[in-house]
Amino acid sequence: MKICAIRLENTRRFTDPVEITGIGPGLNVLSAANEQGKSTIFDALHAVFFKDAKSWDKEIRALAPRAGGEPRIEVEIDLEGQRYRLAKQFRKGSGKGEVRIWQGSQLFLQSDAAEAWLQELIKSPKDGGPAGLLWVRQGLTDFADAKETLAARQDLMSSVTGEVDAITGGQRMDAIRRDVRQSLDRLVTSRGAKKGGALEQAETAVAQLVAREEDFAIKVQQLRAQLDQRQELRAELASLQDPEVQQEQAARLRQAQQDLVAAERYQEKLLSAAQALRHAQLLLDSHDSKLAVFQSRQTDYREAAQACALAEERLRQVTAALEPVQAEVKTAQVAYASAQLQSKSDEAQLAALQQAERLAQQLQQRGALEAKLAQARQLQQQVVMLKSQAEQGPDQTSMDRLEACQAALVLAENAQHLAASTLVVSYDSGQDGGFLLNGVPLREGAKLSLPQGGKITVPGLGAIDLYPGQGLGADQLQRAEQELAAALATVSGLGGVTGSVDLDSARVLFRQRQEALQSLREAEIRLALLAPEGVVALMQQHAGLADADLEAAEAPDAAPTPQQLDQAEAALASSRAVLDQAATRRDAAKAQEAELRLGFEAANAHHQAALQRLQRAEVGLAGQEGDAKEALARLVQQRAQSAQDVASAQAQVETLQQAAPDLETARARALRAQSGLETSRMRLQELGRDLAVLDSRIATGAGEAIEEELAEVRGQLVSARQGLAAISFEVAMLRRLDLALEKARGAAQEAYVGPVLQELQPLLRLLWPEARLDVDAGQVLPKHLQRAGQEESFDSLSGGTQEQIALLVRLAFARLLARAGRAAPVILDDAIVYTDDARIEKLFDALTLQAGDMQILVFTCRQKSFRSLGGTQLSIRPTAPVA
Amino acid sequence: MTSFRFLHTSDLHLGKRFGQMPEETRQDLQQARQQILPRLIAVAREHGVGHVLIAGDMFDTETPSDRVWRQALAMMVAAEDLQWWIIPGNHDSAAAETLWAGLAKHASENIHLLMQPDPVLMAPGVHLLPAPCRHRFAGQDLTRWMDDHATPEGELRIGLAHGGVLNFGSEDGGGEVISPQRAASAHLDYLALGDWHGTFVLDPRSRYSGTPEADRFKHAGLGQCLLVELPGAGKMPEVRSVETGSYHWQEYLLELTPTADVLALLQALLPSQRSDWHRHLIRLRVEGWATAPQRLALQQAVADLSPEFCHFILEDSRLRSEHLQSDLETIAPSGALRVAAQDLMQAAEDASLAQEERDIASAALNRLFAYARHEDDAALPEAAT
Repeated sequence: MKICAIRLENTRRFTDPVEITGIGPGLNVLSAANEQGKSTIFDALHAVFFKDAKSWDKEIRALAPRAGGEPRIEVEIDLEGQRYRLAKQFRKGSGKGEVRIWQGSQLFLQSDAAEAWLQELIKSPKDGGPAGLLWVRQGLTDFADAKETLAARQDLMSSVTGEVDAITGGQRMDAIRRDVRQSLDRLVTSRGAKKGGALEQAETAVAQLVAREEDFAIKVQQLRAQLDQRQELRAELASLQDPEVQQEQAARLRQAQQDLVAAERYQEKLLSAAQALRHAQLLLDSHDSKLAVFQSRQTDYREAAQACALAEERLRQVTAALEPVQAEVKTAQVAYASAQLQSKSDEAQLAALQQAERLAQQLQQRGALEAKLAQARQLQQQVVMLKSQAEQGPDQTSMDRLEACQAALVLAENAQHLAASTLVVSYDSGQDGGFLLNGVPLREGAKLSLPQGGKITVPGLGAIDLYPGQGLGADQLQRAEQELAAALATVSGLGGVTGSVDLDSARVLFRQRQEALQSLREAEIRLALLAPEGVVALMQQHAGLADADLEAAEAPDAAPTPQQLDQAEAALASSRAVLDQAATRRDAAKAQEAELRLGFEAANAHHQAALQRLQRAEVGLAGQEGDAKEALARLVQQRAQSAQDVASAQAQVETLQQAAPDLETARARALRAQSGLETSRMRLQELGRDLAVLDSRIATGAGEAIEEELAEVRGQLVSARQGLAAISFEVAMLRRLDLALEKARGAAQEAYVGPVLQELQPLLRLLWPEARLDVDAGQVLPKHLQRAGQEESFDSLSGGTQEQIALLVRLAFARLLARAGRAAPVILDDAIVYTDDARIEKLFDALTLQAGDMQILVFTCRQKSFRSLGGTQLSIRPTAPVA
Repeated sequence: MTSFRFLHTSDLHLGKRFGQMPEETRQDLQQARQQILPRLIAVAREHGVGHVLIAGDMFDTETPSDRVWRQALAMMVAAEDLQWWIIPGNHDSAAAETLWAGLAKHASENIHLLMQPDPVLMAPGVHLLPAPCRHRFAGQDLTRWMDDHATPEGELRIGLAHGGVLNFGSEDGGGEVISPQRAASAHLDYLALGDWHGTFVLDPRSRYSGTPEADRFKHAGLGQCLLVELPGAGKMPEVRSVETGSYHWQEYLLELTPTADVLALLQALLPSQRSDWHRHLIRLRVEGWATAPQRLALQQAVADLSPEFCHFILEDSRLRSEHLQSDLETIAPSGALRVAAQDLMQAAEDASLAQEERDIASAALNRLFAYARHEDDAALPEAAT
């Protein structure tokens, strides 16, 4: 299809009819300044092809002149060599417009048929036709995602939709893919089953049913186990309660108990035989013992008789030696008693003399002590008195203070004197003593200080009063006097001092106190010498000497003389010597006697022991009747009888042992029989309890109909698993279908993008040698421009470059359509805005190149730049109204 | 002696839950099962029968809920004019002591729980020889004792047992133990058997009554019981079936070929009485080969018709897909959709791939076909999963 002419009337600024004619098959350029109506023509062309004549929508209303009027648009086209004229008269209000198509001069179609013909000729973008084509409005060359440019891109897409759909499946494919995706989305997400979807519900249902089935299966298993167990227990119970079994058990017990009684009786018999054997054995042992004892006693008797004779002889010898020694002892004792009397007498004499001497000494000692005590008491009284005196008058401290005050006073007085006026009198001859100071005549030349002032009298002449000045020492002196007075005042308050005291009397009192203190110390020393431990101790000492014995003792007339004492001691020594000799003799005799007596005692004891042994031997033999030989024979005979009894009892025991039943075995059997019976009884009780428990559990489980529940759950599980399998299969199937569609769609897009790129490549090289463009197959968008070895994102390119690429892409699509025999005009309304003059020439080359076999209409305001484009120059000219 | 008449039934499976069924279906089936005893009572009274023999599996489990067994017992107790002769089966064996003790405790005189293989006198001159299942798996022929037990000459001998026979097979694989010659060897006038849920004639004197209310697709048709009349000792029994069930369990096999008319075949299979469909449980097994349009048509038809049935399940796991070039044309004559369809078709027919992978690809192609048709014809419902 090619556009040959355009006529407008009542279309925006063109209220009067205008026309563009002479539009050629190749490149056509309508170059005019802005506001000359280029875009009006563009929109009018768009309305003719894409708007129903009956419409009166916003787009059509925008075509109406401001002053009012109804747009009328005519287009002449060449379609495969036939000339057609399309005329659309839009009317205010929907449904009133008209469309007519003439073929040559003949009205070809009108109204709806005409619209349908137009639709078929150039499908609207909505229907996927190529008509949207390559109509590019001002500034809509950008491929960015702005709203307007998106529409432009849709135009671009729609311009090739028919071709693309033929390859990619078009909207049908889109609808099917959408259905598949929606079906899948209802079931799954990229991470698995969709929450709340049928797949998840089926999975959840299966999982829950599996859990329930396991739960019920366990319960059923438990119930069956309980039933089995109850059956076993009941069988056991029946067995235990079986009368035959019980009778058998009782019979077994009775038999065991009888066997046990018999065994015990036999055991008693055996024990009795054993006892008899032990008795016989003991008897035999007794006889053996008796025989041995008898023989032993015979030997003892013989030995005792012999020992007794020897002991008697020894006793006799000892007795004979003892008698003379006993006589000597008696004599020595008599002599000793005599000497002892004499010695005691002498001792008494000497003691009397010594006692008289001691009494005399003690009386003398007491007298001396009494004198010392009297002296001490006197000293004690002195000490008391002196202590009182030593506390009278000022003490050392007070005195030191007085003396210090006095010294300070003297120093003050001296200072005053030194500071006071000095008076030296010189008399005229013969007038000595004429001056009186305070009534006392003054000596010639004497230098007198007058610190206190004074009164100088000159008899007969008058008197001169001298007043001391207020020198520096006056205050000091006054303070010294005050301090002294204060010190003295304290002294006057001391013990023993009454009234006011001056310094001198204070000094006297102090001296008296010191003297009293000295006397006190001396008296105390003397007292200490007399009574170092105190007077009280002295008094106690005296009291100790004055005891009753001493008081009562009769004082001897005179103390014995030393000679008397010496004589008495000599007599005593002599008598003691005699006594010692007598004692020695006596002791010697006694020692000999004691030795002999010990020998006698030993001999006597030996004799007594021999006699006792003999007596015991006699007693031992005395138990046997008759002669010893007979007794011995009798004993031998008895022992033989006992030995025979033992042999007999032994044989009896052995015989019984050989035939004895096993008592332990019998006892164990009886016990086992009893235990079995008891065990059965207890087991019966246990079974009763266990069965009651089982009955309760089974009743509960059975009442819950768990087997029915299990069967139901299993049925549901089968159904749920089938459902899940079906949904899983559905998911797999949908995924497979989606994959197949995706794959086919991708391949198809690649298939149609390839030819576009093939058409585009030569155009690109017009601008950028060696350049290559990558296009997004899905969105038909340029993605990257590769030039000079670098890949540049389309978005990063300049506006001019983007504009150029956009134009070239459109031209490539147009070329593709043209090759497919569906050529459509490319209409550019100020589409080249940003391109510089240098690059625009190359674009013109591209346009010229493409215009060789297809129609391109360029509307531009860049008159100067587009002058070099060439092609058919178009103009808008007034024309006569359309008939 | 005059003839003796009784009802022979078994496998009531009271308390069965039908867990594999959808909730609504389950409720219907459970309600129907609760109506078994009233229907048996009604049949007995209608035919003037005074005895009902239940040859085991009265209950579905050994531990039915109290509600189940107490209600069942109450119905039997209330039917005072009927004598109930019941043996434990393998599902409710005598090992379920709690159940049977509870039944015994609350049973009235007209209810006879036969827990031991001891003969009982049903009526003067009529001896019943029961073979109760002591355990779930008997492990031996419980009817053997009948051979050695003599009854007075000229009196009726009726055996009552539960289990499979040697050349027959137990319904639950619970031991193929009952001798098929038992009726003859034990000189029984009739051997009332249970365990097989469908009616089965082992020999003229030995029959399985089947369940009075069907519970599986294995046995087609309504549940029933047997009305037995014994003319006299040694004489052939006269037996006829009486329908007692509420629901038909039907399994249909639909074998398809790529040229078959799916809808016509399906219509021909389904029960003719459409107003009665709500009492039918259908399992439609579809096998063979189907094109995508056939499959889609089948799925749409099932989706359309199945709500009218008590239960309808389409089992098409063994239905293989035949992918035709014409199907691909329907999807897209060319372009990416066509490429995708060809990719899936190739995978579906690629013998080197795992079967599961091929099945998925085949299903995906079928789905693509359905989507394409949906796009072409918005009226088409989305394919059922």
